[in-house]
Amino acid sequence: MTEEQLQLLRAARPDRQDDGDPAVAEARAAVARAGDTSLAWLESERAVDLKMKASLGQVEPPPSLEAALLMAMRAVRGTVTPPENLRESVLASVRNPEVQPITAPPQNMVPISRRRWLGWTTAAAAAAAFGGFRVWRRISSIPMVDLTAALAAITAKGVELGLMSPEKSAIAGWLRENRAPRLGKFPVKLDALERKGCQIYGIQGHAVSLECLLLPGMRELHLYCTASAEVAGSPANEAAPDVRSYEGQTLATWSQADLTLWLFSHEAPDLIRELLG
Amino acid sequence: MPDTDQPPLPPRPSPQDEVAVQAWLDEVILRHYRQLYCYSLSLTGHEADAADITQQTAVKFAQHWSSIREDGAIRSWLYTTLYREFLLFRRRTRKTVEFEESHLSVELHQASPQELNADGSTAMELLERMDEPHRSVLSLFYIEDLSYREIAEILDIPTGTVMSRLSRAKDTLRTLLAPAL
Repeated sequence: MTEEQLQLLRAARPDRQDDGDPAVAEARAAVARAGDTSLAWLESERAVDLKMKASLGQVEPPPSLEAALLMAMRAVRGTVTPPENLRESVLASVRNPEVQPITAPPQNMVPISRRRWLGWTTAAAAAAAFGGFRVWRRISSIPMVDLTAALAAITAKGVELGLMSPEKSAIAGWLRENRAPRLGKFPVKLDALERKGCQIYGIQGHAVSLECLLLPGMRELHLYCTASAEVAGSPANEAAPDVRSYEGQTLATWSQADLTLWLFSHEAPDLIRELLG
Repeated sequence: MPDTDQPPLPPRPSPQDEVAVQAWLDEVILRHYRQLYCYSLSLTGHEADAADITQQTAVKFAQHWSSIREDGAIRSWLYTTLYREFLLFRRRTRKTVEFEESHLSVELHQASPQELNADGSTAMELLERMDEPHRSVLSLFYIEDLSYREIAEILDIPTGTVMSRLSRAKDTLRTLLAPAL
């Protein structure tokens, strides 16, 4: 049996629908001539193939996917317009409700390719099924430690900005328009930095806004902000920022004007302290 | 797994008949989306990314269905499109290390063929331990029951490459399943 025949047999489908192929038939004959050991090998290959096929056949897509696909196809063909404000519904319907951008995609993006669009369409489909959108309710405050871990994970994975703009006023307007928490008065040196954009996340039902700031050389700083009333164990109001290393990043946390803030970066702690000074 | 007993697709509607077109598109996607998702999951290893890529494939299909000349080519078109969407996704996210033909990544944990029956997760984990070019070939082979010629067409690679990758991927699989074989 040649190497080519071996490869051909391994490429032949296990239900033997390729047996009509003369080359496959010849390879099988070569295996038979080679003796029992080769035949046993071929059978064990087939057994593994069949088990892999059967096993992968058990993989279930997310329950919401079917409805989302149908809705997305209608949306792109213009036969359905997704509702404009699905904030509550997205929070209620996404498969992983822990962390999800909850705002509309910016005009210059192709919205259908974005994961949040999947959330929208899922929500729209769910709404169609249940006859109305669920009302989002804030259940309880979230522990500071949990929120910090979630924000660190978001930052480490790479943020996806809902609005990309260097304009402070545009960012402020966008956050205000989406009823997101926002720090009104930044520390002076932090406020002097260039802006990149912003986003709003829903984390266990709590809205957290993100502003992305830039140091020279496009080094990003991520400033997250939420209402202190929603955070259990938030830092004392107006206390000095606590700057420390956190899972490979530099993290500063503090509270200011009834808001709890997190600043994630890869900068040296001293630089962060200076910026927050 | 593909259902070979499925009735043939209904005739293609006129593009002007919006309702009929939508129903036909739905029918096509409902027939294929489970396998498309499974293939996407084997490529990305991440449920949300897999759903995203599957959705993007469905959207592309809704936009370009009329350019597919024969119904028999729809399946290949869907998988080709999904694979291209995956490549775009990978380029954007740069999560995957570029493939080097000289090695396959194999971790030490081994499974048994018996474990494969429980649900798809063990089989999916086995696929995830392979480099993307081997994984993409083996996934199409198992998930959609495609011939090596069809796989070559979808991935736009020579049939000889498909055969050699399948063979190497199966070597890896046997290594991972070795204790019980």
